Amino acid sequence: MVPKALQFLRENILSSEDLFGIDRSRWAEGLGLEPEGEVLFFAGCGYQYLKGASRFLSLAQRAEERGIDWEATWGLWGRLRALGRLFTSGQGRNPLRDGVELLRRAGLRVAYLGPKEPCCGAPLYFAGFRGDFSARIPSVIEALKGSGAKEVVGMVPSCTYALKELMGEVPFQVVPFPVYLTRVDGGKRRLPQPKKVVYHDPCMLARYLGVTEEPRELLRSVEGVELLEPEASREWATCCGGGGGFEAVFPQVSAALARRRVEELLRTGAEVIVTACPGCLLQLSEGVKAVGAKGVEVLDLAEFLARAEG
Amino acid sequence: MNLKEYKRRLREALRSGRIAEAVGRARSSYRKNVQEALERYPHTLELAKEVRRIKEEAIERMEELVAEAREQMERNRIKTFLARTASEAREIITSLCGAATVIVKGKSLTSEEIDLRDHLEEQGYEVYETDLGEFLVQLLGIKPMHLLAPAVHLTREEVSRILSQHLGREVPPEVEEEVAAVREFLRDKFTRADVGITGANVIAADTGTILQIENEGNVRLSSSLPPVHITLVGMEKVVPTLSQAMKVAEVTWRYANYTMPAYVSLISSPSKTGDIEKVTTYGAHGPKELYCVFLDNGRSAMARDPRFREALYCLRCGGCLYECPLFCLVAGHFGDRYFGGIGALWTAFVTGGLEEAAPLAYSCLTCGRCKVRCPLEIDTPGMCLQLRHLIAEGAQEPLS
Repeated sequence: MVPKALQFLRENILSSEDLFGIDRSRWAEGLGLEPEGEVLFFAGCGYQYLKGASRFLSLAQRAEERGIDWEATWGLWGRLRALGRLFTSGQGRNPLRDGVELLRRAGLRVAYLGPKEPCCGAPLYFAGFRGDFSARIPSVIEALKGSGAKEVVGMVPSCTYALKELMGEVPFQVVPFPVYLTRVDGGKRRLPQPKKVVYHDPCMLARYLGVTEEPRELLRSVEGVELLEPEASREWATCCGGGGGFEAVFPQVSAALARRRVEELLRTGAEVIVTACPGCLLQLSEGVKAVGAKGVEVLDLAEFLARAEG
Repeated sequence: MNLKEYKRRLREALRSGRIAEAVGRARSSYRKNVQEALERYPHTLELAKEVRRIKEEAIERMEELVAEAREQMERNRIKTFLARTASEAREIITSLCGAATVIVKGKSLTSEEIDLRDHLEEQGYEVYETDLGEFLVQLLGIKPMHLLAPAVHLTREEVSRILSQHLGREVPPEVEEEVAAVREFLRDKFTRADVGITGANVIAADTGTILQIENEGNVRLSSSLPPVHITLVGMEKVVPTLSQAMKVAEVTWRYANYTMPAYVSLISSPSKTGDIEKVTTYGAHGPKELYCVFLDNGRSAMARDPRFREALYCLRCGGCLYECPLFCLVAGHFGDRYFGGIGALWTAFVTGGLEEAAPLAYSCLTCGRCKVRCPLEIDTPGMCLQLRHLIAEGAQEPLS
């Protein structure tokens, strides 16, 4: 009774510690990150696949439109692995790298476990495989503890939620990236030209972790940002349509939800949509393409801030 | 319904685009009205917290409270029944209807749950839904699309077309004209009806009182004009006292977009008079016979399961549905008899079973906005995840 797409993700996590069964640490190539330190950067799964996942979702949608039970066509998933490999080379867009750079500029030495970073298991939990999720908790905690971390900075809200709220007592503090950055940040940033920016609250960050103000503070601190609010924001924000594995099982409906959220966000007159979750980033980027909003950028918070560095 | 069929249904709903437009309009007005209502009656927020505690106690003591309510009702000349299954409830109600010909119905989700109208029609009764939205849904022969606004997906133009066709005369696409046409048509059914069937929003155990909230007046007519009135009510609707029942009702209507409902009925016995020699005689102007059928149909199993008990706190205000991004796209297609994430849970325990509920459980986005809206802060996404756990890894405790 579990949708096949979610079963596939489960198998990957259990067999190779990754949603799609790839090495997702290549984004950090050349950054010289040590695997040990008091502040551990937890990259999670998501930002590494943006490009591959975008291609994949559009394939899935097209298959669905033609009435193909695409969940059963496993060959497509295999292809995603190849696409994912292309993207994890550390070239081009890289919100994770931006996140590390921002923390470094705030004077922090951040550690990263690289290929040894475990999958937090959140997709297992959300797909209903709680037993699998629970069985992995000790090894996940052990791996993070092994870095000597006192604090774990989570880039992906659902990973952060899993580490912080679903694992019982953990011997380190888990802090969402925007909260951590707000705490240590002293950066002066400005945009070359003033821009109208709207922030999309990820469900996991706003409703599950209660983080709504820090990302806004960070955005407002950038000179030239005019921060706009959509009608539905903070705890009332509308989901991008990519929650809980939904986009993998219902790609067409998910795309429709993304378009609707993009319309809500663009009703503010914004030129840039900023969010802080790889799932939202992907959904909203696709949504912007689908509604044909010319010149509207969709950026991750870390990306946006890094670009505004003096 | 399997996942493949369900996905096909969702895609169809999506393709029309009409649903999203109609529900979108309804949502805007819902949000605005509730916000105004909460500003006008700010005590509602505190009251909602109290109602949460009332429901927690009531569900904990559900069997006992139903027994108490029945005892009080019987003392007040309301004949009561406890149906453990849907078919039992249908049989009881059919036998109560007996030799009747015409039956008028108030809108009742519980009757929807047991397919009561279809069943009675199959038995040869002439059955009329009297709630405007439900009446339209009956004419169309489709399932309702929202808990409280069954015709939420229809525009006035569509309503005009449906009414013109069924009433055999041109009804213009003006809301006022449409309402008048239905009123005229149903007026005659009310006076001819042998039996009125309604639901209930709350039951007070200590007085055996049935509480009904409505705006149209059709429930009042259904419960008072016919000589026989039957109320069908889920066991979870019983609370300990009448004053608590009023609190539950007030929170329900405020979040159900009613601000203040036109009518709140409190019914505690059949119609009676003692005006001649102080001899109590039943059936003065209202019904002589009053029946109350309590329905279990999986509720007691749900109440015993601490993982899912919270789903029984649901007041059926329908607020969560307007906040559900998926519901706003496809309306009642995201659901079975009950809709949205909360509907997935009710499908699992009450109307379908785990297999029926699986596609619904997996289509909850778990975005959590329903919980923000819910006056009782029911953790529907959390329970949908529990449901997925049952589906994926099997029941730790039997799901009966």
